[in-house]
Amino acid sequence: MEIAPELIAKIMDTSIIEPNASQKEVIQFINEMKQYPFAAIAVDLYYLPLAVKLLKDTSIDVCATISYPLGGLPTPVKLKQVKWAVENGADEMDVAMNMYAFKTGDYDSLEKEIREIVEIAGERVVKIIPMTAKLTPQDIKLACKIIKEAGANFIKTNSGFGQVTTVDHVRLIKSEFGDHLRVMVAGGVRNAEIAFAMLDAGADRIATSTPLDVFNTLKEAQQKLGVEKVEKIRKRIEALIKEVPKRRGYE
Amino acid sequence: MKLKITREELARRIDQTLLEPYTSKTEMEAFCNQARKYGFAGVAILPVHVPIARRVLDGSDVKVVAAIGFPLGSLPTELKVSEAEWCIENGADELDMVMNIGALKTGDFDVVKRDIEEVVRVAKGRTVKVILEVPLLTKDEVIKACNIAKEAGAHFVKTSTGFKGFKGWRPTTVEDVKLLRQAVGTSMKVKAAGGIRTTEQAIALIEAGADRIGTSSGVEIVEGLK
Repeated sequence: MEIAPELIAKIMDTSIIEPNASQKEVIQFINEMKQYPFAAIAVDLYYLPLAVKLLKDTSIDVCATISYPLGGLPTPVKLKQVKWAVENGADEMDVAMNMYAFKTGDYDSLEKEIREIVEIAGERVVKIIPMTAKLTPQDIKLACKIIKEAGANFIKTNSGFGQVTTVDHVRLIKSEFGDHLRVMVAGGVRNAEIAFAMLDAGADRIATSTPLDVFNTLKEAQQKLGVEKVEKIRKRIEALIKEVPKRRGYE
Repeated sequence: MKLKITREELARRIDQTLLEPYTSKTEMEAFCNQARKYGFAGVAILPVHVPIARRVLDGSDVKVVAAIGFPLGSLPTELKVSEAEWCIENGADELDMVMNIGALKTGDFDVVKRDIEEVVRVAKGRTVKVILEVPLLTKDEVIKACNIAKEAGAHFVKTSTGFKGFKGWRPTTVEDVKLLRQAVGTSMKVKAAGGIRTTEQAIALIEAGADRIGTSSGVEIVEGLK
């Protein structure tokens, strides 16, 4: 059976995170995207209330971006953003990790910060971004361990903006943590072939700011893979739809 | 090069910049000590690094410059204010805030203005620079943004974040600086930032009217002055 946009969209996040996006452009983007059953759509905090309004009657989670994209905010300011996002209707949070604490070796503060975020977020889905593109394999494992122990639902590999996630990084994380830590791949998912490779490596969700490029290359990528592999990936997507956390559930 | 300037004078025009989140405590200490040695105007850094920079730079003339709403600028005003307040409380001397570019593009000029006014208010007289992100604006938008920043009481307009991840990003140019200088006249200062790597670039931008240069290559630029 073929993997259609309507299926793969359910395990995909998309986003409009551009500093110069006008309100009109945000509305246009979200209205266009809400025709697909995405897991979530991520926006800047400034546009969060607007996105909440536009996605009210859909199954799509609204994702707030916290300390985004650099993760350069101190804990108290970050927690204020999380509270504000909760009060303004966010279903999910993509949080750039405190890389300063991590690089300084202050793992206790880092874990405490993530715990506090998870606590304020309550039942909302929390994804922590350790920027794997900037880390050694050993540091990726360490960051993931801290994120898992602090109780976040997902690690999101990167925040995009030129950072690219490799299949090897996904494999590394999944071989270490399996289903105990969900992985959302972000950064460099430009087409269906890459999306499939990430799913095959164990990704639990895929994020891309250009989802139409993924949808438009689905047929081509499936032809290339062959029936057997496509079936394996399709089954995996269906399993993920059932098992992977999402605030508003699946249709 | 017409401008006569010494290395020390050039350094006093430079905000040495390190806006990398994965900079450790030790690396930030080394960065600030180097800035102190060269006598830069300031160090432009992320909020999370403000306390350590304050400690290292205490007793020196080098200003701690915190980047607010960086690099997207797309925050509700109250959260931009939270960032600014925290940075001031933790020792920032100056704030480089990213304007709400999306609101400007939408024509919500009141939002853009209030955003700046509120940051200026909590800065309590400290220098506030408004980053316009000129590469993403039309000429008319740049002029409008300059007028808003002026009315809101900011001290500087700044050309760009220098954040290379944006679609349409390019290094800042002499034309960008001339446009800002023309728009603000002598009522405000101008900071040029974004892709400034060489002594020649820095001098050309100063000649075009830049009062301050934001660059991560401050050391190379000063050393390169013959």
